[in-house]
Parts: sequence; structure tokens; C-alpha cells
Amino acid sequence: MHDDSGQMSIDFLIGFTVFLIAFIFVATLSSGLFINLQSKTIDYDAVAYRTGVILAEDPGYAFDPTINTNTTRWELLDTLYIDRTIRFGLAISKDYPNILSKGKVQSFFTNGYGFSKDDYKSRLIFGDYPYRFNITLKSVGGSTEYPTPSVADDATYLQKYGYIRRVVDIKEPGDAVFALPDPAFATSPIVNISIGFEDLYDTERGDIYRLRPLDETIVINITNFNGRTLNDIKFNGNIPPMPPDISPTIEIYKNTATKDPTKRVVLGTTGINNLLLFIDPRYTRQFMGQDDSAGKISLNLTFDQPVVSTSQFTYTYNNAADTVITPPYLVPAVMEVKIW
Amino acid sequence: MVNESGQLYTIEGFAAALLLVFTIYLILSATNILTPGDTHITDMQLEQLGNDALAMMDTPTQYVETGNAYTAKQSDLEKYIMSPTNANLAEFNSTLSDYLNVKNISRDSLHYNAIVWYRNDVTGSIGSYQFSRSLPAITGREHFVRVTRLVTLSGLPIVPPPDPIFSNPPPAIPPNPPNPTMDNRPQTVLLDVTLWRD
Repeated sequence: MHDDSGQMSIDFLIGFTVFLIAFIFVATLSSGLFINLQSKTIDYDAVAYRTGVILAEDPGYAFDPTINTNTTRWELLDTLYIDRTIRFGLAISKDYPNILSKGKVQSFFTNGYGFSKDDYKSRLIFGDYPYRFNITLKSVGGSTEYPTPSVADDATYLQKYGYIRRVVDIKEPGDAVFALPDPAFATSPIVNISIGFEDLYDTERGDIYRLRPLDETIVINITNFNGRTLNDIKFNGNIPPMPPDISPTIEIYKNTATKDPTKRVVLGTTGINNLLLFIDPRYTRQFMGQDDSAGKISLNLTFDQPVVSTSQFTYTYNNAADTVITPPYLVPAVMEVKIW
Repeated sequence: MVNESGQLYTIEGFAAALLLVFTIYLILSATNILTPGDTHITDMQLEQLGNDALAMMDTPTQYVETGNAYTAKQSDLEKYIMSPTNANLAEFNSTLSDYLNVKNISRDSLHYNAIVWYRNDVTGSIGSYQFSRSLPAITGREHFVRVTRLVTLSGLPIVPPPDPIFSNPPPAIPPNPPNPTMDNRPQTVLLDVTLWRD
């Protein structure tokens, strides 16, 4: 409008007022326009928290083709089928969060177990974004077995990373120490060890404090052999594979308190003073099925000379004159998850 | 061009209408963001860590079948609260400090202050007492978080020891509940721990 009054028309004022109000609203709320775009810092912490929950509170998930069903025992899958693992998790079960299974910990943290870095991402971190990760486990005093080798995508991480720290307990299966009698009183060259599932299936103890032979390694230490030779070993009548065919099987070591590859025992090994046996749960499951409340393992070791009297060793939770049992116990540890 | 009738020409009208509609669309698709500060993530991490630490201390490391009702199936946390001797308090301090501060590389700098809350069944009142704290001996610092755990004292009631003339050695159970004003009955107390990072 061209006139000399210098006044604006009513409709222009109304239109301009509406526009200006709308513009002020948009300027005020413009920070929310970008809400749908990715915010890296906050997202990393959320992903780290979720990863920590999955590891500490979930037992994992897999499909086992050998029994044609889903299972939480992903760490016991045959090496041919480890790709059937759907989700990692370290807890012994959903009912006991923060109580970790030693077998799952060893499988998860062992580099070269068979999982690639992409496997960890697709089975633990999830999502399409290429996250990097660093997960470590360290004991709180005492055990020197942890820190385990950390699982990491890239050892050097950026200044800004998502982080969570969880305090957990790792369940150690314990062991049994059987002491042979004085050789002067030995009458038989066959050491028989009986492991009754009903003896170990103690509902009062619960899954945390009872030995679960289908999930956990059975550790047996037999002492006082006085330089004997192992001639034969039978597990419920079956001969376990000996090196070099070694997995899954019963690992046997002589004259040592730990797994020392230089002291591995095969049939015919001489100079045995102590025997340390590790019965792999995957080997046990080949013969004992899926139910750990019933069944019995009879382990027979035959030596070149009499080593034992007629009594049989029994693996229970009770000590005896020639038996010292360490029941399952918990080792506290701290797990850290870094995501960037 | 505008005239006195107050009408807009068609193209200008369309342009103005589109501008208004697009502006309204932007307003409706935008959301309001509250930014209370950056401490909520750190708070969550500390709370998770504190809850984990108390939960693991309240889990027995081994299943104990022997012993009397005072010692069997007892977690370390219950032991510390039931029998607050100097040795037990020192062990509580070092254990909780380790659980809170151990890292794969180096050590964190978290501190705590722990208070026990209980209820007196006779008067119905709520009581509390200072249980433990890390050094330096202060009750808190901004920004702190609070974690709690209900601890069941299964060792109560405490049976009075037999006549000392006939007891040799004297029994290992304490003669009184953990705090003089606490009832001698089965009860659950609240362990209230505040955590902060230096």
C-alpha cells in the first residue's frame, strides 16, 4: 500500500504477528528438532549398561542341534555348532543374577575359542552401529586366575566411551582330594571313584552351592601313588580319548596342582605320585543325558601295581578319613564394559 | 500488492499459507527437551555398582552346614552387622572399599558412609546408628547416591550364654544384639549406604 500515513494494514499486522509467534516457537523448540539423530555419548553409556546386564544377569541362549532344542548352555556346544549361539551371557541362570559360571567365563574370555570380533558384536552388543568394545574381568583379592585375557575390539579406546562396572561372584566348582592308603596295605590296582548325581543334587544348597556335573568341570585329585604307571581308565565302561585326540574328554595330569601341559598323562605314563583329573561336562553329557538329579558315574583307573584297598572313593559333600571335599564356592570379581 | 480490501493476491496467499503450514509442522514435530544436567548417568553407574557390592556381600561365599543358628548360612554382611567387632568392621570397610574401587587398571576413588536403621517393636520407633564409613570420616559430598539393602538378621534372638562357671571356653556368640537399643528378636534391618566419588 502506498500512502503517506505510514500505517500498516490490519491484515498485514495479523499475518506478521502469526508468523512471528510461530517463528519464536520454532526458535525455542529447535533443539528438539535433532532428537531423532544419533547422540553418541549418551548412546554409548546405554549400550554399555545393556551389555553389562546381558553379561552379568543372563545365562545366554543357543540352539543345540545334538538335542534339537534351545538351551542356555552355549559354552558346552560342540565346536562344530558354536555358530548356533544366539546370545552370550555369563550367569549360571536367570534366577541368580551376578553369579557367573566359570565355564561360560572361560569360553567367553578365551581368545581363539572360535568367536570373531564380529561374533561378539552380533551376539552381545547388537545394533547396526559399528560399536567397539573392551570387556575385562578382575578378581577382588585372592584368586590369581582372574584377570582373564580381556575381550577387546581395539585395545586403545577414545577419551569418550560408555562405561559400566559390575560386581559379580564367579562360581568355582571346588574339588575332591582322595588320599590312597599306605602301599603296604594296598590290595587292588584299580582305583574306583563313584560320583552319584543324587548325592550332589542337594536342593537345600541350590544351584549356587551344589556341583552340577552336567554344567561344571569335576576336579579330582588323587594323592600318594608312590611312582605308579597308569594302564587303563574307564568312564562308565568307556575309554575317554587320550592326547592327541583330546576334546571333549577327561584331562589327566601328574604331579602338579594345576593344568601343566608338560605333565599330561596318557595310558602308559610312569612315575605318577599324584593325579589331577578334570572331567569335562561335555564329555559327561555324552553318557549321562540331560538330567543331573539321577545317574551315576563310575570312574575306574587301573595301575601297574596294587594302590588301594577294597574301599571305593565317593564324591559327596562330606569329608572322610581319606577324603577332603571342597564344595563349590564363590570368588568375587569386578567386570568392566567399555563401549565406543 | 495489497489494497484497502484487505485481500492478498493469490500467489502471495499461497506462499503465506505454505509458510504457516510448514511452520506449524515444525512446531508439532519438535519436542521439548529437559536437561537437568549430566549427572544422571554417573548417578546410575554408582547406584548399580553400590547395589551390586551390597548384594555380593550379602551372598555367602560358601554353603556352611555346620555351626549353630548364628553362624550357619550366614552371609558376610549379616556377620558384620550381627557382630560389629573391630575386626569385623575393619573387614567390612576393606571389603566394601575393594568392591567399589577395584578396576582392571588402577583404582577408583569412591567413598561411603553406612548407617543401619532398625525398628523397636515395643515403642514402634525407628532407630539408627552409624555403622561404618571410609576415610576421611565425612558423611558425604556432592554429588552422592544412596543405595540400600534389607539385611535379615537370622542370628536373632541371641540366646543368653550359659552360666559362666560351667562354660569353658565361653561361647562365641555375642551376649547382646548388635546395638543396645535394638530388640532381641528375628528382624530385618536396613543398611543405608551413601556413595560419592572424590
